[in-house]
Amino acid sequence: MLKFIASAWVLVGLVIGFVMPRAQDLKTTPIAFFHVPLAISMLLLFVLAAVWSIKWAFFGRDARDDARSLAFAEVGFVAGLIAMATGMLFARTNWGAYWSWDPQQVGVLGTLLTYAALFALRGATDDEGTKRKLWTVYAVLGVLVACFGSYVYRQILPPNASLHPNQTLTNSDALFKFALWFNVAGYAMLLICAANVRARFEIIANRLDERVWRGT
Amino acid sequence: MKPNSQVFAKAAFAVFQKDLLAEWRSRATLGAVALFSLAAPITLGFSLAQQKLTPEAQGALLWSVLFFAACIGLPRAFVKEEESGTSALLRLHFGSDAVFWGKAAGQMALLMVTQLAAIPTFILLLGARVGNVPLLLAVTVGGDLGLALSSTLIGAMAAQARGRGALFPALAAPILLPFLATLGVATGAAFGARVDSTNALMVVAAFDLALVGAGVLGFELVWK
Amino acid sequence: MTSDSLFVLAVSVLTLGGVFFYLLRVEALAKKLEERVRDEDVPRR
Repeated sequence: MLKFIASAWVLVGLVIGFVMPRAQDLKTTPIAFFHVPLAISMLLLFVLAAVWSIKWAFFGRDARDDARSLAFAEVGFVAGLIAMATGMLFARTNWGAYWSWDPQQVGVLGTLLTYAALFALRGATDDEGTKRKLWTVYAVLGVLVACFGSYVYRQILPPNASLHPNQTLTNSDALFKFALWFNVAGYAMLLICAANVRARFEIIANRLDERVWRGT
Repeated sequence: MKPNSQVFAKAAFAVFQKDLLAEWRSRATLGAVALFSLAAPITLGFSLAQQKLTPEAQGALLWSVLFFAACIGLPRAFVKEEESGTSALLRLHFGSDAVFWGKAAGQMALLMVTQLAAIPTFILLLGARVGNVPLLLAVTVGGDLGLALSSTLIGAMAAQARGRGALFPALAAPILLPFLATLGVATGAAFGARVDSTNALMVVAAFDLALVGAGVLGFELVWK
Repeated sequence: MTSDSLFVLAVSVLTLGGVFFYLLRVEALAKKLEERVRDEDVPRR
Protein backbone atom coordinates (compact mmCIF):
# COMPACT_ATOMS: atom_id res chain seq x y z
CA MET A 1 0.00 0.00 0.00
CA LEU A 2 2.75 2.40 0.98
CA LYS A 3 4.32 2.03 -2.43
CA PHE A 4 1.23 3.39 -4.20
CA ILE A 5 0.98 6.34 -1.84
CA ALA A 6 4.70 7.02 -2.12
CA SER A 7 4.70 6.90 -5.91
CA ALA A 8 1.69 9.17 -6.24
CA TRP A 9 3.21 11.50 -3.65
CA VAL A 10 6.50 11.71 -5.54
CA LEU A 11 4.61 12.28 -8.81
CA VAL A 12 2.80 15.26 -7.28
CA GLY A 13 6.05 16.42 -5.70
CA LEU A 14 7.82 16.32 -9.06
CA VAL A 15 5.19 18.54 -10.66
CA ILE A 16 5.28 20.94 -7.71
CA GLY A 17 9.05 21.11 -8.05
CA PHE A 18 8.78 22.09 -11.70
CA VAL A 19 6.09 24.74 -11.34
CA MET A 20 7.81 26.42 -8.38
CA PRO A 21 9.22 29.89 -9.05
CA ARG A 22 13.00 30.12 -9.33
CA ALA A 23 14.42 29.99 -5.83
CA GLN A 24 16.80 32.68 -4.60
CA ASP A 25 19.66 32.84 -7.05
CA LEU A 26 19.78 29.18 -8.05
CA LYS A 27 19.81 28.02 -11.62
CA THR A 28 18.05 24.76 -12.47
CA THR A 29 15.88 24.99 -9.36
CA PRO A 30 13.86 21.77 -9.86
CA ILE A 31 16.93 19.65 -9.17
CA ALA A 32 16.93 21.03 -5.61
CA PHE A 33 13.65 19.23 -5.02
CA PHE A 34 15.34 15.97 -5.92
CA HIS A 35 18.86 16.40 -4.61
CA VAL A 36 18.05 17.71 -1.12
CA PRO A 37 15.28 15.16 -0.38
CA LEU A 38 17.60 12.32 -1.39
CA ALA A 39 20.36 13.60 0.87
CA ILE A 40 17.97 13.87 3.80
CA SER A 41 16.45 10.46 3.03
CA MET A 42 19.95 9.01 3.00
CA LEU A 43 20.51 10.19 6.56
CA LEU A 44 17.06 8.93 7.60
CA LEU A 45 17.75 5.50 6.10
CA PHE A 46 21.12 5.29 7.84
CA VAL A 47 19.48 6.15 11.15
CA LEU A 48 16.84 3.47 10.52
CA ALA A 49 19.60 0.98 9.67
CA ALA A 50 21.24 1.74 13.02
CA VAL A 51 17.88 1.40 14.80
CA TRP A 52 17.23 -2.03 13.25
CA SER A 53 20.71 -3.24 14.10
CA ILE A 54 20.30 -2.03 17.69
CA LYS A 55 17.00 -3.88 17.80
CA TRP A 56 18.85 -6.97 16.63
CA ALA A 57 21.58 -6.59 19.23
CA PHE A 58 19.60 -5.72 22.34
CA PHE A 59 16.02 -6.81 21.67
CA GLY A 60 15.76 -10.43 20.73
CA ARG A 61 18.61 -11.18 18.29
CA ASP A 62 16.16 -11.81 15.46
CA ALA A 63 18.11 -12.38 12.24
CA ARG A 64 15.34 -10.62 10.32
CA ASP A 65 16.14 -7.35 12.07
CA ASP A 66 19.73 -7.64 10.96
CA ALA A 67 18.56 -8.27 7.40
CA ARG A 68 16.43 -5.12 7.58
CA SER A 69 19.39 -3.15 8.84
CA LEU A 70 21.48 -4.32 5.90
CA ALA A 71 18.69 -3.42 3.48
CA PHE A 72 18.26 0.10 4.85
CA ALA A 73 22.01 0.76 4.82
CA GLU A 74 22.25 -0.45 1.22
CA VAL A 75 19.36 1.64 -0.05
CA GLY A 76 20.65 4.62 1.92
CA PHE A 77 24.03 4.16 0.27
CA VAL A 78 22.44 4.22 -3.17
CA ALA A 79 20.43 7.30 -2.20
CA GLY A 80 23.68 8.95 -1.10
CA LEU A 81 25.34 8.11 -4.42
CA ILE A 82 22.42 9.62 -6.34
CA ALA A 83 22.38 12.68 -4.07
CA MET A 84 26.09 13.15 -4.66
CA ALA A 85 25.79 12.73 -8.44
CA THR A 86 22.88 15.15 -8.74
CA GLY A 87 24.66 17.47 -6.33
CA MET A 88 27.64 17.51 -8.67
CA LEU A 89 25.45 18.42 -11.65
CA PHE A 90 23.76 21.07 -9.53
CA ALA A 91 27.15 22.39 -8.44
CA ARG A 92 28.35 22.54 -12.06
CA THR A 93 25.53 24.86 -13.09
CA ASN A 94 25.60 27.02 -9.96
CA TRP A 95 29.19 27.11 -8.74
CA GLY A 96 30.93 26.32 -12.01
CA ALA A 97 32.64 23.09 -11.00
CA TYR A 98 31.54 19.50 -10.42
CA TRP A 99 33.68 19.14 -7.33
CA SER A 100 34.89 22.05 -5.23
CA TRP A 101 35.82 20.44 -1.88
CA ASP A 102 32.85 22.03 -0.26
CA PRO A 103 32.68 20.83 3.39
CA GLN A 104 29.27 19.34 2.81
CA GLN A 105 30.41 17.48 -0.28
CA VAL A 106 33.38 16.05 1.59
CA GLY A 107 31.18 15.18 4.56
CA VAL A 108 28.84 13.12 2.39
CA LEU A 109 31.79 11.52 0.60
CA GLY A 110 33.18 10.53 4.01
CA THR A 111 29.82 9.14 5.05
CA LEU A 112 29.63 7.06 1.88
CA LEU A 113 33.17 5.80 2.50
CA THR A 114 32.11 4.78 6.01
CA TYR A 115 29.28 2.70 4.65
CA ALA A 116 31.52 1.24 1.95
CA ALA A 117 33.85 0.14 4.76
CA LEU A 118 30.82 -1.23 6.59
CA PHE A 119 29.93 -3.46 3.65
CA ALA A 120 33.59 -4.50 3.37
CA LEU A 121 33.57 -5.45 7.05
CA ARG A 122 30.47 -7.55 6.56
CA GLY A 123 32.10 -9.30 3.66
CA ALA A 124 35.28 -9.98 5.63
CA THR A 125 33.73 -11.76 8.59
CA ASP A 126 32.87 -15.43 8.41
CA ASP A 127 30.95 -16.18 11.57
CA GLU A 128 27.31 -15.03 11.34
CA GLY A 129 27.09 -13.87 14.95
CA THR A 130 30.35 -11.90 14.87
CA LYS A 131 29.39 -10.42 11.52
CA ARG A 132 26.17 -9.03 12.91
CA LYS A 133 27.77 -7.75 16.11
CA LEU A 134 30.46 -5.87 14.21
CA TRP A 135 27.82 -4.58 11.81
CA THR A 136 25.77 -3.14 14.68
CA VAL A 137 28.66 -1.26 16.24
CA TYR A 138 29.87 0.10 12.93
CA ALA A 139 26.37 1.10 11.79
CA VAL A 140 25.98 3.23 14.91
CA LEU A 141 29.41 4.78 14.35
CA GLY A 142 28.34 5.48 10.78
CA VAL A 143 25.41 7.61 11.93
CA LEU A 144 27.77 9.48 14.22
CA VAL A 145 30.05 10.24 11.28
CA ALA A 146 27.14 11.20 9.07
CA CYS A 147 25.96 13.77 11.62
CA PHE A 148 29.42 15.15 12.38
CA GLY A 149 30.50 15.12 8.75
CA SER A 150 27.53 16.82 7.22
CA TYR A 151 26.17 19.06 9.97
CA VAL A 152 28.69 19.70 12.73
CA TYR A 153 31.93 20.08 10.81
CA ARG A 154 30.80 23.06 8.74
CA GLN A 155 29.84 24.91 11.92
CA ILE A 156 33.46 25.33 12.97
CA LEU A 157 34.56 26.77 9.63
CA PRO A 158 34.17 30.43 8.76
CA PRO A 159 30.54 31.07 7.77
CA ASN A 160 31.24 31.46 4.06
CA ALA A 161 33.53 28.42 3.72
CA SER A 162 30.66 26.24 2.51
CA LEU A 163 29.05 26.96 -0.83
CA HIS A 164 25.92 25.22 0.34
CA PRO A 165 23.36 27.82 1.36
CA ASN A 166 23.24 27.71 5.10
CA GLN A 167 19.62 27.77 6.15
CA THR A 168 17.51 26.94 3.12
CA LEU A 169 15.76 24.23 5.07
CA THR A 170 14.53 26.46 7.85
CA ASN A 171 14.68 30.03 6.60
CA SER A 172 13.14 30.04 3.11
CA ASP A 173 9.66 31.31 2.37
CA ALA A 174 6.78 29.05 3.26
CA LEU A 175 5.98 27.92 -0.26
CA PHE A 176 9.54 26.82 -0.97
CA LYS A 177 9.79 25.07 2.36
CA PHE A 178 6.51 23.26 1.79
CA ALA A 179 7.61 22.03 -1.63
CA LEU A 180 10.93 20.87 -0.22
CA TRP A 181 9.55 18.96 2.75
CA PHE A 182 6.73 17.52 0.64
CA ASN A 183 9.35 16.03 -1.62
CA VAL A 184 11.45 14.85 1.33
CA ALA A 185 8.48 12.89 2.66
CA GLY A 186 7.75 11.40 -0.77
CA TYR A 187 11.27 10.20 -1.52
CA ALA A 188 11.73 8.93 2.03
CA MET A 189 8.60 6.79 1.67
CA LEU A 190 9.64 5.51 -1.76
CA LEU A 191 13.10 4.57 -0.51
CA ILE A 192 11.67 2.87 2.58
CA CYS A 193 9.52 0.76 0.26
CA ALA A 194 12.59 -0.20 -1.74
CA ALA A 195 14.47 -1.05 1.46
CA ASN A 196 11.63 -3.24 2.67
CA VAL A 197 11.69 -5.22 -0.55
CA ARG A 198 15.46 -5.58 -0.28
CA ALA A 199 15.03 -6.79 3.30
CA ARG A 200 12.60 -9.48 2.17
CA PHE A 201 15.19 -10.82 -0.24
CA GLU A 202 17.84 -10.83 2.47
CA ILE A 203 15.53 -12.73 4.79
CA ILE A 204 14.85 -15.31 2.07
CA ALA A 205 18.58 -15.62 1.46
CA ASN A 206 19.15 -16.19 5.18
CA ARG A 207 16.60 -18.97 5.26
CA LEU A 208 18.12 -20.62 2.23
CA ASP A 209 21.54 -20.41 3.91
CA GLU A 210 20.13 -22.03 7.02
CA ARG A 211 18.73 -24.81 4.92
CA VAL A 212 22.07 -25.44 3.28
CA TRP A 213 23.64 -25.72 6.72
CA ARG A 214 20.98 -28.13 7.89
CA GLY A 215 21.54 -30.10 4.71
CA THR A 216 17.99 -30.42 3.45
CA MET B 1 29.23 0.51 44.84
CA LYS B 2 32.67 1.41 46.07
CA PRO B 3 34.26 -2.03 46.19
CA ASN B 4 32.83 -2.71 42.73
CA SER B 5 34.37 0.35 41.17
CA GLN B 6 37.64 -0.42 42.93
CA VAL B 7 37.67 -3.88 41.48
CA PHE B 8 36.96 -2.41 38.06
CA ALA B 9 39.74 0.16 38.35
CA LYS B 10 42.15 -2.54 39.48
CA ALA B 11 41.21 -4.78 36.58
CA ALA B 12 41.52 -1.99 34.05
CA PHE B 13 44.88 -1.06 35.49
CA ALA B 14 46.02 -4.68 35.30
CA VAL B 15 45.16 -4.79 31.59
CA PHE B 16 46.96 -1.49 31.07
CA GLN B 17 50.04 -2.71 32.95
CA LYS B 18 50.12 -5.99 31.06
CA ASP B 19 50.00 -4.17 27.73
CA LEU B 20 52.73 -1.75 28.71
CA LEU B 21 54.94 -4.54 29.99
CA ALA B 22 54.48 -6.60 26.84
CA GLU B 23 55.22 -3.55 24.75
CA TRP B 24 58.29 -2.68 26.77
CA ARG B 25 59.69 -6.21 26.37
CA SER B 26 59.50 -6.18 22.59
CA ARG B 27 59.29 -2.47 21.80
CA ALA B 28 58.16 -3.57 18.33
CA THR B 29 55.11 -1.35 18.03
CA LEU B 30 56.77 1.61 19.67
CA GLY B 31 59.71 1.41 17.31
CA ALA B 32 57.56 1.11 14.21
CA VAL B 33 55.29 3.99 15.16
CA ALA B 34 58.13 6.25 16.25
CA LEU B 35 60.10 5.57 13.07
CA PHE B 36 57.08 6.25 10.90
CA SER B 37 56.24 9.46 12.66
CA LEU B 38 59.81 10.62 12.07
CA ALA B 39 59.95 9.41 8.48
CA ALA B 40 56.65 10.93 7.41
CA PRO B 41 57.50 14.56 8.22
CA ILE B 42 60.89 14.09 6.55
CA THR B 43 59.17 12.78 3.41
CA LEU B 44 56.77 15.68 3.53
CA GLY B 45 59.63 18.11 4.03
CA PHE B 46 61.43 16.63 1.02
CA SER B 47 58.50 17.01 -1.30
CA LEU B 48 57.31 20.33 0.06
CA ALA B 49 60.70 21.93 0.66
CA GLN B 50 60.13 24.90 -1.61
CA GLN B 51 56.50 25.48 -0.65
CA LYS B 52 55.22 28.00 1.79
CA LEU B 53 52.52 26.18 3.71
CA THR B 54 49.66 27.99 5.37
CA PRO B 55 49.03 27.21 9.07
CA GLU B 56 45.76 25.55 8.07
CA ALA B 57 47.60 23.18 5.75
CA GLN B 58 50.21 22.44 8.42
CA GLY B 59 47.52 21.59 10.97
CA ALA B 60 45.79 19.25 8.53
CA LEU B 61 49.10 17.61 7.54
CA LEU B 62 50.10 17.07 11.18
CA TRP B 63 46.97 15.11 11.92
CA SER B 64 47.18 13.11 8.71
CA VAL B 65 50.71 12.05 9.70
CA LEU B 66 49.66 11.25 13.26
CA PHE B 67 46.66 9.27 12.04
CA PHE B 68 48.71 7.11 9.69
CA ALA B 69 51.33 6.59 12.38
CA ALA B 70 48.54 5.45 14.68
CA CYS B 71 47.28 3.09 11.97
CA ILE B 72 50.59 1.21 12.06
CA GLY B 73 50.71 0.62 15.77
CA LEU B 74 47.25 0.70 17.23
CA PRO B 75 45.57 -2.32 15.65
CA ARG B 76 48.41 -4.48 17.03
CA ALA B 77 46.88 -4.33 20.52
CA PHE B 78 44.13 -6.77 19.61
CA VAL B 79 45.76 -8.56 16.71
CA LYS B 80 48.51 -9.86 18.99
CA GLU B 81 45.94 -11.14 21.47
CA GLU B 82 44.16 -13.03 18.72
CA GLU B 83 47.41 -14.32 17.24
CA SER B 84 48.83 -15.65 20.49
CA GLY B 85 45.43 -16.97 21.49
CA THR B 86 45.39 -14.97 24.70
CA SER B 87 42.15 -13.17 23.95
CA ALA B 88 40.12 -16.02 25.42
CA LEU B 89 42.08 -15.72 28.67
CA LEU B 90 41.54 -12.00 28.69
CA ARG B 91 37.82 -12.56 28.22
CA LEU B 92 37.74 -15.03 31.09
CA HIS B 93 39.68 -12.91 33.52
CA PHE B 94 38.34 -9.43 33.05
CA GLY B 95 35.03 -7.78 32.29
CA SER B 96 34.74 -6.12 28.92
CA ASP B 97 34.69 -2.64 30.49
CA ALA B 98 38.00 -3.26 32.21
CA VAL B 99 39.55 -4.51 28.97
CA PHE B 100 38.20 -1.52 27.06
CA TRP B 101 39.54 1.10 29.44
CA GLY B 102 42.81 -0.74 30.04
CA LYS B 103 43.46 -1.12 26.33
CA ALA B 104 42.41 2.47 25.62
CA ALA B 105 44.80 3.73 28.31
CA GLY B 106 47.57 1.64 26.77
CA GLN B 107 46.87 3.07 23.30
CA MET B 108 46.79 6.57 24.75
CA ALA B 109 50.16 6.07 26.43
CA LEU B 110 51.66 4.74 23.21
CA LEU B 111 50.31 7.69 21.23
CA MET B 112 51.58 10.24 23.74
CA VAL B 113 55.06 8.74 23.88
CA THR B 114 55.47 8.67 20.12
CA GLN B 115 54.06 12.16 19.72
CA LEU B 116 56.56 13.50 22.22
CA ALA B 117 59.05 12.92 19.43
CA ALA B 118 56.80 13.26 16.39
CA ILE B 119 55.18 16.64 16.98
CA PRO B 120 58.40 18.59 17.67
CA THR B 121 60.00 16.94 14.63
CA PHE B 122 57.07 17.92 12.48
CA ILE B 123 57.13 21.50 13.74
CA LEU B 124 60.88 21.79 13.17
CA LEU B 125 60.94 20.22 9.71
CA LEU B 126 57.86 21.93 8.30
CA GLY B 127 58.64 25.27 9.86
CA ALA B 128 55.42 25.69 11.75
CA ARG B 129 55.16 28.52 14.25
CA VAL B 130 53.42 27.51 17.45
CA GLY B 131 51.59 30.64 18.45
CA ASN B 132 49.45 29.07 21.12
CA VAL B 133 51.09 26.25 23.10
CA PRO B 134 48.22 25.48 25.53
CA LEU B 135 45.84 25.16 22.59
CA LEU B 136 48.20 22.76 20.81
CA LEU B 137 48.46 20.68 23.99
CA ALA B 138 44.70 20.64 24.49
CA VAL B 139 44.10 19.63 20.88
CA THR B 140 46.73 16.90 21.11
CA VAL B 141 45.23 15.43 24.27
CA GLY B 142 41.71 15.60 22.85
CA GLY B 143 42.84 14.08 19.59
CA ASP B 144 44.80 11.31 21.28
CA LEU B 145 41.84 10.46 23.45
CA GLY B 146 39.62 10.12 20.38
CA LEU B 147 42.25 8.11 18.50
CA ALA B 148 42.80 5.81 21.50
CA LEU B 149 39.09 5.18 22.11
CA SER B 150 38.21 4.65 18.46
CA SER B 151 41.23 2.46 17.78
CA THR B 152 40.38 0.27 20.76
CA LEU B 153 36.85 -0.26 19.49
CA ILE B 154 37.69 -0.55 15.81
CA GLY B 155 40.86 -2.54 16.51
CA ALA B 156 38.85 -5.15 18.39
CA MET B 157 36.48 -5.31 15.44
CA ALA B 158 39.18 -5.50 12.79
CA ALA B 159 41.04 -8.23 14.72
CA GLN B 160 37.99 -10.47 14.44
CA ALA B 161 37.57 -9.98 10.71
CA ARG B 162 39.42 -11.98 8.09
CA GLY B 163 42.98 -10.76 7.58
CA ARG B 164 43.54 -9.89 11.24
CA GLY B 165 43.48 -6.14 11.43
CA ALA B 166 44.40 -5.49 7.81
CA LEU B 167 41.02 -3.83 7.54
CA PHE B 168 41.80 -1.36 10.34
CA PRO B 169 42.87 1.68 8.28
CA ALA B 170 39.93 1.23 5.92
CA LEU B 171 37.54 1.09 8.86
CA ALA B 172 39.09 3.85 10.92
CA ALA B 173 39.80 6.45 8.24
CA PRO B 174 36.19 7.30 7.27
CA ILE B 175 35.01 7.16 10.89
CA LEU B 176 37.71 9.60 11.93
CA LEU B 177 37.46 11.84 8.85
CA PRO B 178 35.34 14.61 10.42
CA PHE B 179 37.29 14.28 13.66
CA LEU B 180 40.69 14.61 11.96
CA ALA B 181 39.44 17.53 9.90
CA THR B 182 38.29 19.30 13.06
CA LEU B 183 41.60 18.57 14.78
CA GLY B 184 43.37 19.98 11.74
CA VAL B 185 41.37 23.19 11.98
CA ALA B 186 42.09 23.54 15.71
CA THR B 187 45.79 22.80 15.22
CA GLY B 188 45.86 25.32 12.41
CA ALA B 189 44.55 27.85 14.90
CA ALA B 190 47.38 26.92 17.28
CA PHE B 191 49.83 27.47 14.40
CA GLY B 192 48.40 30.94 13.88
CA ALA B 193 45.50 30.51 11.46
CA ARG B 194 42.65 32.90 11.98
CA VAL B 195 39.79 30.59 12.89
CA ASP B 196 37.65 30.32 15.95
CA SER B 197 39.32 27.55 17.92
CA THR B 198 36.74 27.35 20.73
CA ASN B 199 34.12 25.87 18.40
CA ALA B 200 36.61 23.38 17.03
CA LEU B 201 37.70 22.36 20.52
CA MET B 202 34.09 21.87 21.51
CA VAL B 203 33.49 19.66 18.50
CA VAL B 204 36.57 17.62 19.44
CA ALA B 205 35.24 17.24 22.99
CA ALA B 206 31.79 16.28 21.69
CA PHE B 207 33.28 13.65 19.39
CA ASP B 208 35.34 12.27 22.29
CA LEU B 209 32.22 12.04 24.43
CA ALA B 210 30.29 10.33 21.65
CA LEU B 211 33.17 7.87 21.26
CA VAL B 212 33.15 7.15 25.00
CA GLY B 213 29.45 6.30 24.75
CA ALA B 214 29.79 4.26 21.57
CA GLY B 215 32.90 2.58 22.93
CA VAL B 216 31.47 1.50 26.25
CA LEU B 217 28.27 0.15 24.68
CA GLY B 218 29.81 -1.19 21.51
CA PHE B 219 32.88 -2.83 22.98
CA GLU B 220 30.83 -5.08 25.17
CA LEU B 221 29.00 -6.28 22.09
CA VAL B 222 32.16 -6.77 20.03
CA TRP B 223 34.22 -8.38 22.75
CA LYS B 224 31.79 -10.92 24.17
CA MET C 1 7.45 26.87 -17.58
CA THR C 2 9.51 26.64 -20.76
CA SER C 3 9.23 23.72 -23.15
CA ASP C 4 12.70 22.65 -22.05
CA SER C 5 11.68 22.14 -18.47
CA LEU C 6 8.46 20.49 -19.62
CA PHE C 7 10.63 17.99 -21.45
CA VAL C 8 12.73 17.37 -18.33
CA LEU C 9 9.56 16.95 -16.27
CA ALA C 10 8.26 14.39 -18.75
CA VAL C 11 11.53 12.45 -18.57
CA SER C 12 11.45 12.49 -14.74
CA VAL C 13 7.84 11.28 -14.67
CA LEU C 14 8.68 8.46 -17.08
CA THR C 15 11.68 7.51 -14.92
CA LEU C 16 9.54 7.50 -11.82
CA GLY C 17 7.00 5.32 -13.62
CA GLY C 18 9.76 2.91 -14.57
CA VAL C 19 11.01 2.77 -11.01
CA PHE C 20 7.47 2.19 -9.74
CA PHE C 21 6.71 -0.70 -12.04
CA TYR C 22 10.08 -2.26 -11.37
CA LEU C 23 9.36 -2.01 -7.65
CA LEU C 24 6.05 -3.82 -8.21
CA ARG C 25 7.77 -6.52 -10.24
CA VAL C 26 10.53 -7.08 -7.70
CA GLU C 27 8.03 -7.18 -4.88
CA ALA C 28 6.01 -9.85 -6.70
CA LEU C 29 9.23 -11.81 -7.09
CA ALA C 30 9.91 -11.52 -3.35
CA LYS C 31 6.44 -12.77 -2.58
CA LYS C 32 6.83 -15.76 -4.86
CA LEU C 33 10.17 -16.67 -3.29
CA GLU C 34 8.81 -16.24 0.22
CA GLU C 35 5.99 -18.65 -0.56
CA ARG C 36 8.37 -21.22 -2.00
CA VAL C 37 10.68 -20.99 1.00
CA ARG C 38 7.74 -21.37 3.35
CA ASP C 39 6.33 -24.38 1.45
CA GLU C 40 9.61 -26.20 1.59
CA ASP C 41 9.97 -25.47 5.30
CA VAL C 42 7.10 -27.84 6.03
CA PRO C 43 8.91 -30.95 7.23
CA ARG C 44 8.53 -33.80 4.82
CA ARG C 45 9.69 -36.45 7.18
